[in-house]
Amino acid sequence: MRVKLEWLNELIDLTGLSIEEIVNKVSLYSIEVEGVEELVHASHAVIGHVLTKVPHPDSDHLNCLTVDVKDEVLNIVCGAKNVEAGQYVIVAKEGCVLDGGTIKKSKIRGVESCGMVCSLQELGVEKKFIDEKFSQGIYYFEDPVEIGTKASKALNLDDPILTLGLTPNRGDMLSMIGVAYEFSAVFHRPLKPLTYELVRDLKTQEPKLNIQIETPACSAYYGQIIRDVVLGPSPRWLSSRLIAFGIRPINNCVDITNYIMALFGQPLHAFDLDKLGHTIVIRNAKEEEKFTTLDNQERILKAQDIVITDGKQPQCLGGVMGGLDSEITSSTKNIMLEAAVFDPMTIRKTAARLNLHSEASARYERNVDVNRTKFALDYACYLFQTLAQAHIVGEPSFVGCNHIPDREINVTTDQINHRLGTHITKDEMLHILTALSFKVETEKDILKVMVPNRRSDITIWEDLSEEIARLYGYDKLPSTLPIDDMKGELTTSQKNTRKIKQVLTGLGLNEVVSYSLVHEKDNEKFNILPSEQKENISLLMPLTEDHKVLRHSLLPSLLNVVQYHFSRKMKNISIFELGKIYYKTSSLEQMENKKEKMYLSGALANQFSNTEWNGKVETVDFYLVKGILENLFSALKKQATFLPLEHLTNELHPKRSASIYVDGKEIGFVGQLHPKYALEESLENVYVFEIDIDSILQEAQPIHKYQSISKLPSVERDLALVMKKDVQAKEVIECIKKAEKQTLSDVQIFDLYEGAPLKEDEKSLAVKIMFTSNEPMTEEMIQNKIKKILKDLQFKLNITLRS
Amino acid sequence: MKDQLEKLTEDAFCEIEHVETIHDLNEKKASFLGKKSKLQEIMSKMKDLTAEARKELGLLANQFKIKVEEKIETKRKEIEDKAVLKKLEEEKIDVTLPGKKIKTGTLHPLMSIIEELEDAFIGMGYQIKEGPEVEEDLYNFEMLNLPKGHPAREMQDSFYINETTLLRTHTSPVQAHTLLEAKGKPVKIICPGKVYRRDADDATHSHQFMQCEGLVVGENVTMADLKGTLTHLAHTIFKDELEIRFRPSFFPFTEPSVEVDVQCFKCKGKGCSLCKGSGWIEILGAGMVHPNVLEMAGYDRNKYQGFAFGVGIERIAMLKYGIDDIRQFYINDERFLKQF
Repeated sequence: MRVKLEWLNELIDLTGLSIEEIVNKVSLYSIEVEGVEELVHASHAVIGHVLTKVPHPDSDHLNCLTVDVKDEVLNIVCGAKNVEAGQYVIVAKEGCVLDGGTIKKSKIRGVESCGMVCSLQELGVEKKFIDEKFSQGIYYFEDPVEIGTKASKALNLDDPILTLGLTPNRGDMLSMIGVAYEFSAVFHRPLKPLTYELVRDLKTQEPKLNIQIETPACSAYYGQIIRDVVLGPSPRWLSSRLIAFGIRPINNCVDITNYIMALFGQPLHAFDLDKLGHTIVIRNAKEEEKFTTLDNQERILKAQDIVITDGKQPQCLGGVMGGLDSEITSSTKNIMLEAAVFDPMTIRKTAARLNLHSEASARYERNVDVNRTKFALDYACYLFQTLAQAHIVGEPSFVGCNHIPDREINVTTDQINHRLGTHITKDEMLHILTALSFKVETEKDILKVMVPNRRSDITIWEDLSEEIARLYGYDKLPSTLPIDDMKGELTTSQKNTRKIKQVLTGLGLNEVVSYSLVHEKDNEKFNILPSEQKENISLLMPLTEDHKVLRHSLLPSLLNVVQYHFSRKMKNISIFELGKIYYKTSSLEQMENKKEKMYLSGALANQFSNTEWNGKVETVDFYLVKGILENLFSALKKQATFLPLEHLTNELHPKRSASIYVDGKEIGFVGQLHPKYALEESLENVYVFEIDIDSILQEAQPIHKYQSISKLPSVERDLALVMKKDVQAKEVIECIKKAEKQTLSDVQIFDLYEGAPLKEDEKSLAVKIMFTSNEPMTEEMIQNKIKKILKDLQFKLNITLRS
Repeated sequence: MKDQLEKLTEDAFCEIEHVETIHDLNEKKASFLGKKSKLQEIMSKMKDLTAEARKELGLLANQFKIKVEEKIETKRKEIEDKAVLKKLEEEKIDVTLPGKKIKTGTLHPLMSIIEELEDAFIGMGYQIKEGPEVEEDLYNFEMLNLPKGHPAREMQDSFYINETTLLRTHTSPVQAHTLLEAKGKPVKIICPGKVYRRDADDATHSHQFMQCEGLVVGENVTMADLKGTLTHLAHTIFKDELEIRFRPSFFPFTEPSVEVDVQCFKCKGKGCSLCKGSGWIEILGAGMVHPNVLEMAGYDRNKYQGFAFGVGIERIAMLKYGIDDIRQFYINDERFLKQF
């Protein structure tokens, strides 16, 4: 809402208030002030009178003017076609700063020019507000203006315009009068009454308007016949106010309806009476009914829309836009002026469906106060009478409800203070509510507040608490903390989440956050969901193809991050994300069938760490990533098993990837990208993991009982074992552990060897076995244990001791 | 013989002084004090002397022994110290060479801000709640006093999946879930999480972003409590005793509703380019829970009241770290991530 201060001053006395004070107070007590501007700010632009005009001696399109600017007569060379001697024009004198630069004295083709005759656009007025007549040349005043006056003053555009960021509840401030009420409460300044003198012609015989309302979506309809209008331009005071408000002036009739809308918040519509006739039927549109709005677009209507008809054809899309057929044109003589009230929801739906948002619909959507409708209509008639020399024929015809009484809301001072945590007195509350022009009666500490219909946002006592709080001043609100016995704690899943992040960042991985919405193609990759859950959850109206479906895996997003780094020559990367994936269980219709769960995924590539000057480089490989995960699971007190990949996918290297099992359940995978996929995507040497961590997150970590530490040192024995290549390390370790349960405390593999003198299909693993006991162990006892282990290895896995 | 001993002392001192290794020192010791030493030679001749002279010589020999042993020990220490010094010198390193790059990772800046908020609010007795991101229209809008037809819930502003399901547009539905679960009992929670709006991504808009919602409901929770709580929040975030202020605003789920500004942490309220000269920076929206919201969740609107607030995590991070493009958070450039 744009508020021209000169106009507002006509409704409420703001003298003595600086613009800074106004902006500051309105922001703190009422509503956000989004901007303050002056439409015309050229300082050295004044009104001049063109005395003479002669063609430039050396040009066929320039003219040499002499222009009286009061203090002097300037020689100006002017290229505008519409300049004539005798015109009152705007002269940018030397030193005037315009958008195009500063005006200087200069010679144009040998003739001295001491300024410039301006168009409105050159002064900063937007093109859309400028009458076509002046759009191709300079602006001139139609009537004499005092020579030497500042141009902005002569144009009535020399005052600041506030832009108020209205919140959706404050439809009442979509009018100058509404703003005046609000400012009156903020600044404690009285409102000035609007005065007018209207003489209705009660003698002329005129058939009565036959108005019929056939829809509940129209609650009030006034029709006023106005005859013998003289179309012409509006006076400058009016057109300048419309420009400041943001509406283009057209002619006095159209401008008056817009002016009334801006002033009262009451949209009006002027029909050409001679095209419309005397019958007016307000009804719902027929399904698929066609109607051409005044912007010459054919609209297909629906039954929920409101149309104003002449009894047969729609003439206006009620509350939204007029029709082409009954529009006011240059030949219009007689008018039927409509002032109506429509249902907000209906108007909102129509405007939204047709994407037809007008100033009128914006007001109807937010409630128009019917208590002001007649006043607005009368004031419009007064303007028609004075500005368009029109006859106002008789009283308006009316159908509907023309008055809604004030809403009574009762509230006690205790209720207000208890909600706000304040000690505001009854008198202070009374003072605030009265400043809002609400009638208040009191009974002990009960306030009976009569809320006028214009404030449709106030319906319960809590709404009044806001009015009181803000106008009392939020700065005076005490600052306290709630008093209660509530305790705060992270949930199990939040604790586990933190632990996971702690471990992974501690091990050198950076956390990333990526988008949940991905490309459809992304959901075809790394998808470990069971097939019945693989159906995409798609947006009805996606913004882009890249963010169309909810993701089934975090890895495509993580690999995007890897690609981003690769393409910037950053080849070493290690990242992880703990985020949700989303899937359907069966039918889409019920909420319960849409699930989301936490995944933990990571991507690592090339160098993991590099100590640089002493040249030690750790390169990412399967075992590094596996090691990171083993560390993680150990921190989570979980035993993870890694086995050859269960489900082959196109993205994973089938021989260098493993499925991860925890508690006997497959929960994810780790491995290198498939060389073919890696090549296609330029993702060489990338290792990834993805774990369905959801159920682990929910598990509280059990308290582990302490295990006593042996007082005796452990005994270590190294064995070099030879076996067939397809024997898995896991089998070897398990076999050893089974062979000696009592004293064996650890088995570590510390070397892998393949090649001569071993056979082609053989490999050797070097194993360190640790025995720990509280009793002393003799060499003989150890030897016996080793013998048993070797025997079992030989028997179960055909493993021999390397000679 | 006395002269001989004196000469021997002189020789011993002189020779020991010139020894350079422990090995040589041990040899000298043997040669002066050992079984085949010159001292023994002299002593062996003692039996030919008078008792008196023997006594005197014995005394002298003893003195000699003590003196030489002392000298040897001093020398031994000297040689050992030298050896240590030499070893130290050999072990010299350039301490200005860089330390080994032990790899460490970082939390994402959005996540570390959330952890910071969580810790601050746990300290004030809040529970941390989470909720689904794929939400029902009922919880995202209706139960928050945004009935059907409300302009804020138009299709073009939200990512709908079907007519009744959408990606939550704020973390506020967690309020509704929590109140329903609490079944009329007091509630004190914050809920951080991802939210989605149908906005094209640019420097200041992101179709996905993070919010943290706060909700306190009880019999005596006041708007003054909201002010105190948010003051604490501002101190937590900006690590400074900055003031906050409320400005009137509108949200369908609160009444009164306010926008909350914090004193500009850069200029401390004096006015600078960051706060566009006002001395204040808008950080979040808040208000007293609308009685309709309480009532819909089964609370007695005449008995219970509460406050709620919602803060944009990206906005906080951008202000705090001076980040000028919201997309940075989702590009995940390691050069960016490593800075937090």
